[in-house]
Amino acid sequence: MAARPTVNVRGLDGAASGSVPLPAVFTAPIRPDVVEAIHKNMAKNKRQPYAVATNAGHQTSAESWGTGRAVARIPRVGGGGTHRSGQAAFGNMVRGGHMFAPTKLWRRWFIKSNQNQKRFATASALAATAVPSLLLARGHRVEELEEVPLVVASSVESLTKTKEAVALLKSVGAYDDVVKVSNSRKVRAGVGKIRNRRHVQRRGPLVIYNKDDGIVKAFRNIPGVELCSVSALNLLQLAPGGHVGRFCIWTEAAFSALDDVFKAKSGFTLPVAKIANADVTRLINSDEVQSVVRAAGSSKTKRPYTQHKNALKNRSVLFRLNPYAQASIRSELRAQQQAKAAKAANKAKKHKEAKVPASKEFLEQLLAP
Amino acid sequence: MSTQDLQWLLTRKTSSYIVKQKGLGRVFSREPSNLTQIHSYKYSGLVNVKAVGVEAAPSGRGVVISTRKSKASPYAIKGSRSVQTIKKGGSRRAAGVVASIVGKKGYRSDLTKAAVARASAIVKSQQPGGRKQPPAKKVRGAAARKVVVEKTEA
Repeated sequence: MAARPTVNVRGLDGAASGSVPLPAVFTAPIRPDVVEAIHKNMAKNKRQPYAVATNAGHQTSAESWGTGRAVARIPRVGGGGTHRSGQAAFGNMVRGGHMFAPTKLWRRWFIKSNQNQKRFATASALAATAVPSLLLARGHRVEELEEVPLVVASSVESLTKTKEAVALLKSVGAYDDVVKVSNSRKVRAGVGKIRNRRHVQRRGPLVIYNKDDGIVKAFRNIPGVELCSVSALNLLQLAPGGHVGRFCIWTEAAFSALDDVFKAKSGFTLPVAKIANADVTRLINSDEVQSVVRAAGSSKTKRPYTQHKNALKNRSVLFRLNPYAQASIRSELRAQQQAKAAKAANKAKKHKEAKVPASKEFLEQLLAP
Repeated sequence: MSTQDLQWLLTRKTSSYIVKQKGLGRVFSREPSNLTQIHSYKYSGLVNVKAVGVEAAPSGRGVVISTRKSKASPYAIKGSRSVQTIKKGGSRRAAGVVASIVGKKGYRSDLTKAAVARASAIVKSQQPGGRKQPPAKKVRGAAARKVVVEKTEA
């Protein structure tokens, strides 16, 4: 394998001040299917169980009146002296009854994911953070960034003031993403706004550190910015919503610790792409493939069979099939012509022997009074 | 590093630039360097290693053409594109320059037509006084007679 590319390390002023090799995780295959599936399960583990009261809709001693009273056989509240008496009870279609399929506390709220699948998904999501197009497609404003992954000097871990943190984000060109988050803050649609989830906003950069010397406190109040230790990488942060390509800002110490972090995971080897080169165009145009493929044929395809011709309509096909047909048709035509000529001659003859008009004498005699 | 085929598969369904609306008839894209703003592999400016950007100059006069630098690293974002601005001349000159950059130099000859069309449309839109209005349609037939009657009555 070729030498691994290097990434520049940026100082507090944003200028490159050194470089580190790209950790092996970034060569992991990007598998959105795995990330989505694991994210879906992991996101369920933060839920709080809820259910309706077990006896909801059942706090009455209603019984069906049975048939013969011209009312439906639904259980009805007994007694008298109140409006409730005689009203239907229990059923999900009934006022004051239980809901359909009442929710139960023992719903399957929490879902276990296989550890190595989680690690696979994390590695996959990490690899996606190094692809500019995926970051942009997720909506991160990284156009002003020199390159991804963005690695800053380890001294950033000892920043304690938010003012300094903002200055760093501005100098490396990452502040646009924070501005995007600020502008996106809106009051949540729906009932969540009365349940302590009043606002919604986009996600900003994820800052990944090795050792917290104040970096968490320095960054945590910046809108949208989240922090994470390199030893506790979380898929929910690396691929929010199951969409890969979170914008990550690494400290140099965290970035170079990444290889060790994945090596320390016993029983886990980093996923490797099934094919070394997934560039289909490059593969097709490679000498190896081009030397064995047949030359391109003509752009027009030749029919393997001739077009069917109706022998009753197509004379040449007919004559090929029935050699007598030609003579037969000709004699037929001749006969027709002769008949026609004969008929015409006959007519002409008849015309010539036109009837002699009746003589005067005859007419006088005929019309005699 | 993932290839552009893979990146297209990853961004085809979910991308912040996609515009899907009722009545549009097709999926559009708001991404930069997309010549037709159509969400497709061919025109995608995000995914294609060799994407062509044709934009109006921010000053309001001229066309900016951007192509990816051949030596830029796949991880680079800012400064990875070479930019050229056409300031003088009309749409025919702009079209010629664009065609030579995109097509003749063998950068992305399949995008030549779209790039030229976009460049000339931009130049046309920048003409002083805006786009030329087409001459008013002559009224014919019954409508014309009606107009004459109204004039004589007035």
